[in-house]
Amino acid sequence: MIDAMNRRAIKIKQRAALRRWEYRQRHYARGVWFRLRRVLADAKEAFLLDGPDGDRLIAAGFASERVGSELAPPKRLVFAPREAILELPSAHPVAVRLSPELLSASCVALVRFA
Amino acid sequence: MERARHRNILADSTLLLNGLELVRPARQKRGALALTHALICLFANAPSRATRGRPYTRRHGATASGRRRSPGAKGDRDLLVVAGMFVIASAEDLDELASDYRSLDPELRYAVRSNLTVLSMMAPLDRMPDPTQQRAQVAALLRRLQSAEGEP
Repeated sequence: MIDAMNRRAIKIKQRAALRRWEYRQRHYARGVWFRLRRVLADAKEAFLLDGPDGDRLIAAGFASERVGSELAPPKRLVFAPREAILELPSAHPVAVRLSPELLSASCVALVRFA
Repeated sequence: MERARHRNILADSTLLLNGLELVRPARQKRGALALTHALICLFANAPSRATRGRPYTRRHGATASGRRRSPGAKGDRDLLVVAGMFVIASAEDLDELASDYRSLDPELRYAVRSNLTVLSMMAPLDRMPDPTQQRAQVAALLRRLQSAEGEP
C-alpha cells in the first residue's frame, strides 16, 4: 500500500515538475507560439524554400511576417500568391501544421486563404 | 444523415461530447441548438496550453462537467469535436458565437482564439472529424474575432 502511494506521489511530482517547466517556457516565449500559429492559421498552403529562393521572394516585394524574426533561429514566413511560389525551383509543399519539417525550415512561403 | 445525427445529439438539453458534459444554460439561447454555447465551452475549456481553469460556463449559468481536460490525445479529441461542430454550424450560429465572444473576459477571448489556432494546426485523427476541412472557416472566424479586438 505504502509502495503504491509512493509511486503515485512520484508520478504527481513528475507531472508538477513538467508543468512548471512548461509554464516557464511559455513565459519565456512571450506568446510567440500563439502568434506563429495565428500566422499559419491564415495559410491555405505552405511551401518550404531554400535561402536563395526566399531572398527572391523578399526581393519581389513580399514581406516576411514579424513573428518569424522572434524565433531562434529566425525563420522567414512570407505570404505570396501561389503562382509566384510555384515558379521558385526549391518550392516544396508541406502540410500547414507545427511539424518538425516546417519548424526546422528557415524559409516558408505561405498562400493566404482567399 | 451525419448532419442530422449531429443535430439530434445537440438538440438534447445536455450535450455529452467526447466525455465533456455540457449543460445548456438556464437562459435559452436564440439558436435551437445552443451550438454557440457548446462551441465556447469547448474552446474555453479545451486544450489551450495558455489558459487553464476559470470555465466560461460558471459565469453564464451553465456547467461544463465531466472529466477535466487533459493534455495530449484526449485534449486533441476535445478540439476535434469543435471541428465536427463547425460542419453543422450555420451563419446564424457563427454570428451568435462572435456576439458571445465579445462578452467574455480578455483571458477567455484569448483562450478561444488560441484554441482556434491549435485546431487549425491539427492533423486528422482516426474516427474523428477532419480538422483540415475546416481550416478556411477557422481562418475566417479568427479574422472576425480579431476585428472584435480592434486588431487588423
